[in-house]
Amino acid sequence: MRFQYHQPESLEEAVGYLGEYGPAAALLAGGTALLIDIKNGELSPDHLISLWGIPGLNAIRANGDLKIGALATITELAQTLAGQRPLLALREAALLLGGRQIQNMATVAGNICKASPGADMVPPLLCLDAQLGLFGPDGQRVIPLDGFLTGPDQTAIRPGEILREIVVPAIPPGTGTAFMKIMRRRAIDCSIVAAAARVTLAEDGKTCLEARVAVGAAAPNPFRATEAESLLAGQEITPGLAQQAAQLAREASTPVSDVRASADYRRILVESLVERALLQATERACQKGVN
Amino acid sequence: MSQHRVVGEKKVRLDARAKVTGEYVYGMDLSLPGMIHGCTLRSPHPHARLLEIDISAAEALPGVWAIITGRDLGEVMMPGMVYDQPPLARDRVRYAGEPVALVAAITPDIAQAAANLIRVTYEPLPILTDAEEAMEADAMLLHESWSDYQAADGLVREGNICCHSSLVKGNVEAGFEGSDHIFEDVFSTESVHQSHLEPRVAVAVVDSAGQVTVHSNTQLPYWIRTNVAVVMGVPESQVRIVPTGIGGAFGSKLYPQIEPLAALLARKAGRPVRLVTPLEDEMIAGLPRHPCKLKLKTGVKRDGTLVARQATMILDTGAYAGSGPELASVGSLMLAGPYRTPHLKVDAYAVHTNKTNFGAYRGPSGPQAVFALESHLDIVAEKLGMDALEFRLKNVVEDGDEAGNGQILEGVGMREALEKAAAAIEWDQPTSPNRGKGLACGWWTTTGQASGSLVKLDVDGKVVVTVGTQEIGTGAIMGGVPQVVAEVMGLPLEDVGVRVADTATGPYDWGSQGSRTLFNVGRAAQFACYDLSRQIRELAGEMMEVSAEDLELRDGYVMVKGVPDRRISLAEVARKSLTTVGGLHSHGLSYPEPATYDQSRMISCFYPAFHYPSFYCHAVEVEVDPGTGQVEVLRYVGAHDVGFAVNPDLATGQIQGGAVQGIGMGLMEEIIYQDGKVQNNSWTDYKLPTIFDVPEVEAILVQHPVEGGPFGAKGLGEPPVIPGPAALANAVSRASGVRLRSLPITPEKVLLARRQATGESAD
Amino acid sequence: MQRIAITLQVNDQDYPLELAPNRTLLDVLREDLALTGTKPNCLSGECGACTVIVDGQAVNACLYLAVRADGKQVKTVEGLAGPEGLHPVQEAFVESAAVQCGYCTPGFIMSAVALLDGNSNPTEAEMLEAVSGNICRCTGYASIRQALRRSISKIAAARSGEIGA
Repeated sequence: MRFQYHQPESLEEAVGYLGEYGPAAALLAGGTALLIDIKNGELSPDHLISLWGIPGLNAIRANGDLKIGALATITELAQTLAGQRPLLALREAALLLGGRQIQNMATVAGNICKASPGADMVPPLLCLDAQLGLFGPDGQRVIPLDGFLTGPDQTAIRPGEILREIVVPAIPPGTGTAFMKIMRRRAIDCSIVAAAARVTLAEDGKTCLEARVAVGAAAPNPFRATEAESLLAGQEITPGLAQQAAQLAREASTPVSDVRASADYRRILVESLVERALLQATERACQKGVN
Repeated sequence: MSQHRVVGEKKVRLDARAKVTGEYVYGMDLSLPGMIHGCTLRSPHPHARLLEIDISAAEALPGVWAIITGRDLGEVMMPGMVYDQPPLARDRVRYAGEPVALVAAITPDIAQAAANLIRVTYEPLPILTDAEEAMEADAMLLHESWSDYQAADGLVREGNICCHSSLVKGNVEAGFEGSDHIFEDVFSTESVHQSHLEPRVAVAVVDSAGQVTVHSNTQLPYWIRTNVAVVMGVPESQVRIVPTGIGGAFGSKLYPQIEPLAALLARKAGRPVRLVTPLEDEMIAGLPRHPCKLKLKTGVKRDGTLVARQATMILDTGAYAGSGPELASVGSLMLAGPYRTPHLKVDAYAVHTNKTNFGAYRGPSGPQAVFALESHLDIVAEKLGMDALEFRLKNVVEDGDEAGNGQILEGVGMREALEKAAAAIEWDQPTSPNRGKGLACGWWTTTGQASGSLVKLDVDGKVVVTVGTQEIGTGAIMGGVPQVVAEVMGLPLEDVGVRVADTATGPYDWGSQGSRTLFNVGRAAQFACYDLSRQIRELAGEMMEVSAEDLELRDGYVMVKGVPDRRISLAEVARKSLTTVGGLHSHGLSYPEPATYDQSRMISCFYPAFHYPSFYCHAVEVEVDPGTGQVEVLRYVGAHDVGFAVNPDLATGQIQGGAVQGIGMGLMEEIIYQDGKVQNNSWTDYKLPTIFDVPEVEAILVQHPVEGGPFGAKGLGEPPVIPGPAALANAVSRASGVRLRSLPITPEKVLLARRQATGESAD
Repeated sequence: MQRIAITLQVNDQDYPLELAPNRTLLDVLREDLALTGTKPNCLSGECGACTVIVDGQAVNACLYLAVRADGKQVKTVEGLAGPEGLHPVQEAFVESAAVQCGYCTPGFIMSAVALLDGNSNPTEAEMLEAVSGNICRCTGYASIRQALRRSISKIAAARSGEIGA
């Protein structure tokens, strides 16, 4: 791997480099996916633009909204979220992403922008209606994460744009979330299938006001199973209903067969995991109080 | 109270400190002055004619020192049971990954860039990837001139079958007629890789006089020496193999893969050359375990007594014969198993396909055979309505019984291993829903062949033992052997040193392999020490004016038996010896008698008997998640009859480590091939067990010392990897209601099998 | 070829270097600084043999560009033992017979040190998670679990020794 290395000290400078070098440039955040792609020959950027010289990009601010800076690592996010019950799905996804060393290096933003079909941070972020703050040559814009991923390894990022932060809007009370992933072993692995669920219950502690169901590694990108979500809205989430919702999620998934698993197995897993995630999210939504 | 001071104790091994500080020097750490870097160009095609190689662009790259192709090597073939493999492909490639050209350059990057510039013209040929298909009479021949190859006497081979071993005892047809029930099953296993943490590496130097030195992290320096000599076309005495530290091996580093290639480059370049096999290449072109298909047919009496077994084992041996012939023979013994069986007919084949020539992985052919046999016997027991443990206890061999090959067995700890493993897993206690227990047992060898050792009484009264094979991690060389020496010489362990010599300076050794290392190097050291002890007592006797017979070695002293204050230190004896006779030293040799067996039962069997066999049983408890098929291993017990545990911690370590490799093969590891190409040649997609995948394995040491082993020890290195997959298959069957007959038992297979069994569909 | 001037602080020692930006921390440690205790294997972050500590965090040196470590504190296995002897984690690995071939050992030790430097009384789950990115092929992990527990005890004992003193 041969490249020129640039260390901009501001986002503007970084955007300037991206403009100058175009597709010959790649951004360096955690580097865990980038360096492997370069070694394998899948990417050969002539210019590497490191984001690490830009102050403030690694901040995580929790003040109503949760704002996750571009360079916040998976570990930093997991540590920040310790004790925050409604955001458990996000923490669970972080703690299951690779081994500890990878968690210490990889960034949440990087996981999103790499846009793997199995990007583990995406399903819980979809359930939390995450927004993306982008900065580019035309200034800033904020768009929903839902819709940002446009295919395997593809996003709607514009030329010269940098994802600067991820914003998780404040969670309404009575919300519980859950994340589950099935791997080929019990640690350090990509998802064969992942599922995240979010349930917000009404004051009565039973009726589901709003639900989100997101599935990973069962389609070109992680997606929201919106039909499953509609089924649950306004209902009490019983095991039977969760099962029905899980079936809808399964029907909405378009998994492939690959070296890790067959499409048939993935479809079964979508149903199993969504059902379990929904029931666990509901149980967590019922539990009042801290931690 | 132990009768021993040092052996039998949990002593700290001699290399532990250097390994925790990072000082220990492995092959990967070795750097020589002026060293340049080699790179291997490999065939992308599983099968093709190699028409032309154009190295002109590669040669022109600045920084390139040497390029070698198969055409440069004449007709030389690698030595083995069949001389069928050229060091570099000449006019034909037979597996994707086969080495085609070598480059040496100033930096690894330049070497790789040059390799990328070599233009090879291939004409792809049809691919043969199924071993059973390859056995058919009209199958395409992977080696058209197979019958012209030099091959071992007595090797039965034909076409793509490079070995057919058979074991016949009694008359199976009569046996089946006399059986009340007959059961048949078919099983299959895939290739799994040793996955040592340290890559394979060699650094070769050829001086201007033609002396070849290769530093290699090999387990078997003397076989490497033979191969390097043949490939280089020089006498063996002109080749010196220097073993480096080894970061794991498990059989992968037994056979020459890169040493001859590094030596060729070094000679051509006139510079030392380092050649590494990166992980991605190792997964494609290494020497992993043979994939296998097995068919079993067993006849029993209604009370569960075994009467007859017919078995077929088809080992996919890949493109070249390699160890296939030997392993077919081992496999037959494993399919006979540690059972009393009046009639046996086992046919084991090693068959060519267009894949890497599979090699030796810890207990080679063992896990495949035991997976089949122990699953099959569980099925038989269940159909007879018998408990699986009871069925085995009824049929396993005891002291004095004969094995399938007619060898008479002694020191048989099979029953005790079974009972202890079963007790530890609480075999009789019922399990919760979705949980199940399984067990599997077997036997294995303590490989013989020669090991030498040299011992000397060093200044300060220390004893240094020099051996001819390297520590691969088991602790045999850096733990067990010095403990043996310390015991015999009456020294504390701190006063024993171990040196691993190279092939020019040290004793001959058949290598750190085959569960033989502690047994043979330990014995050789023991014999050497007996003689050194005699010499010491004789010199001390002169010094003390006492008869040598009245002296003993104890606590670093030579003392008069029963009169502890009449003594001199070994240091004094050492000093005296240096000034009078030039020091005291001795040597010892272990070359155990081969086991006797009934030769009339075996045809084309190149590993016909198990030597000082050991016996073992593993028992596991699993839980199966019915919604995902995931198997969690809750408890794992491994009971091994080790004869005598020279160091219980080291023995326990072997059992625990081997069991986890067994869990890997049983549940998650598999080299996935498609059209002859490996699909998962990285640790991203070849899954090894992590700390979260396994419980803490409970090791049970059964000790019936055998005469002949050092302090009664038998081999232990390999057996722990053998029964795991079968025990897991048996447990999963009880936990989930489904019987899986192919490895690995992945969550997908479990879930889909359950669905099929209950009639549910995936959609 | 571009060279970037950095100062690498490794085991409390400063090393001014001019490095090509494509070199990994693993390669620079081993080739330029002769610190070969950190081991290469998969070169893709899957095995943990190359684990070092950067600013208190365990990372895979094979995926960490050396130029990124400018101004950061890097700790390798060579920096653990002192004139007083081995680090408690090193001692624990020796005493628990958790070292067989030893190639994974520096990586495991560094992951454990990173954990214990930040949290001297971890739970069993935290202990396992800290080494979730380290593969061992020899031991089956049982002796490593014991070594980790022993490490925690040793560090707790040392701390209460300090507190008591």
